[in-house]
Amino acid sequence: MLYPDDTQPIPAHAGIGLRAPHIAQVIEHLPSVTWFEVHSENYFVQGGEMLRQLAAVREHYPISLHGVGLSLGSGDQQYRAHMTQLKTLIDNVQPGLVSEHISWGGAGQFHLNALLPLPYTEEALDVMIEHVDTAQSFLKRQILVENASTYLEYAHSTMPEWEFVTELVRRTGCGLLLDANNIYVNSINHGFDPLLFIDAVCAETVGEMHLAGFSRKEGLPVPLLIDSHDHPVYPEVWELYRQTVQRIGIKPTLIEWDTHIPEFSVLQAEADKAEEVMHAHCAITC
Amino acid sequence: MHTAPSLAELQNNFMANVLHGDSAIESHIETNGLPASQRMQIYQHIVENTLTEALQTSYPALRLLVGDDFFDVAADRYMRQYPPISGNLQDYGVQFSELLANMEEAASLAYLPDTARLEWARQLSFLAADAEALEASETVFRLQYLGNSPMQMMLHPSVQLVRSSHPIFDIWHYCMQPSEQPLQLDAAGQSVLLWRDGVQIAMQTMDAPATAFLHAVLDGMEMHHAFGAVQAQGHADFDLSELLPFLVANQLVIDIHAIGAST
Repeated sequence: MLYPDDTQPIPAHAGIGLRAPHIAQVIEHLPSVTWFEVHSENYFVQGGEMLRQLAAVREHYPISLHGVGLSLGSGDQQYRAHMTQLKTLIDNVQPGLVSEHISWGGAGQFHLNALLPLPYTEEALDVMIEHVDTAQSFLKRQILVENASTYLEYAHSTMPEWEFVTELVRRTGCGLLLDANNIYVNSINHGFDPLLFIDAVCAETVGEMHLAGFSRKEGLPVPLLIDSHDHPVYPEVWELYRQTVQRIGIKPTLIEWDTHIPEFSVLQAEADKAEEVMHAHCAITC
Repeated sequence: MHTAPSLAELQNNFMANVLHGDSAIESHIETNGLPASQRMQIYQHIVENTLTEALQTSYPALRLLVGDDFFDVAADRYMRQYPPISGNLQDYGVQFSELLANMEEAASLAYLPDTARLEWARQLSFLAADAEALEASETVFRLQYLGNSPMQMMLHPSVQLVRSSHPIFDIWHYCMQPSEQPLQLDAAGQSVLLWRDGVQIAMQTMDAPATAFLHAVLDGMEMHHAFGAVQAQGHADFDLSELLPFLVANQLVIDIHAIGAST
């Protein structure tokens, strides 16, 4: 048996997104980190060293599985083979949390392997509800769904993003992975008050939060932020995170960094900042 | 005023824009100070970067061999001619050798497709299942015990064999571990056996008789028929006792069983 046979819950502390450059270091030194999150698809392998490394990490830390390829918002199909591979990984890893995105990537016979924007319509909501229901039934567990960054809005959307997201969570019983950076990015890209989003969220449904850095698209007539995961978390997002914690309480919070990945100590310092925000809130309210 | 598209129609239009520049999606996008075409360009670049990086990861030697400019052109063309069909990027790139074989610009570089096949075999080996190897003594015992009975040899799931009329093993090493020895691109062809060895993918060139035998075994052929296949290719002197110690030492034999009775 490669993995421990009990599920370890993800604690309400700061975790780190574990990527390939740091795995050997983590296994060797067992740094003081409360939990890790990995991308599910990176471990869609049948055997070999990657699975052994994940097992070695899982032996010492709770793990969350975060998927990017299930395409829950596809209007014409569900990705059963992908879900089967995810189920196999879940059965082996016994993660504390499993999450995916409120987005789509596949249509027809192709899959663009990107987190693409949905229209906020009743039809798209029904599709997401059906596919989240199917996923939770097939995987035999609750999943979390993450609000995505978007760079366009569709003319035929009939509700704001936060209504779409909260309705999806309410009608499926899934949890919400609230990405503060994505809310901030969308608030700039589409011009809304990010606190409208936060205030619409039911605190009990939030199972996890994400923090990451964005980049600015230069030379455009309007401000546009890209969810690039290649910078430290920006001060504006730290402030939104602090306000969110005040409203919904402390939740497991992940530091994500996927491009130009820095030294592990940089990620630890970001996680420490998130811990400070949580600790400050707790000192006042706990 | 445009009629609202169905979700499936919208997504097909979106995909047609990203892959082929089709503009039908643009009428459904709010501009909000930025033309819809520019908003779609952001997604085009995201997809292009993601898919190109996936190919760069799977084909590092090929990229070094042809240079970034050529590689990026090939990657862009591949994305449009062979879009990914799964949400797992590790599956993306299986037909890259086909694209290279049909690229006019690569017509004089006949070794490129086979170099790509070698790198994809490395990817398959990396992703393959684990399996316990047979002990050396058990391997020898089963071969002796089964004697002339019909039997099948099973190799480790990570084992791949790539045959080429080009020196693909030398090309790969020249790209990944450059030496002062000049690369002879017109040297004799090489067959390469690959397998997973810890965190590495091991590679070994095979002579023609061993290649013929291993190809037959990997094809699921009964062992005596595999010997027959080797001899039919003019290698009457093939001797398994030379190849077997190599396979056993590298823990590549996972089973030998009588046909119809898996052990």
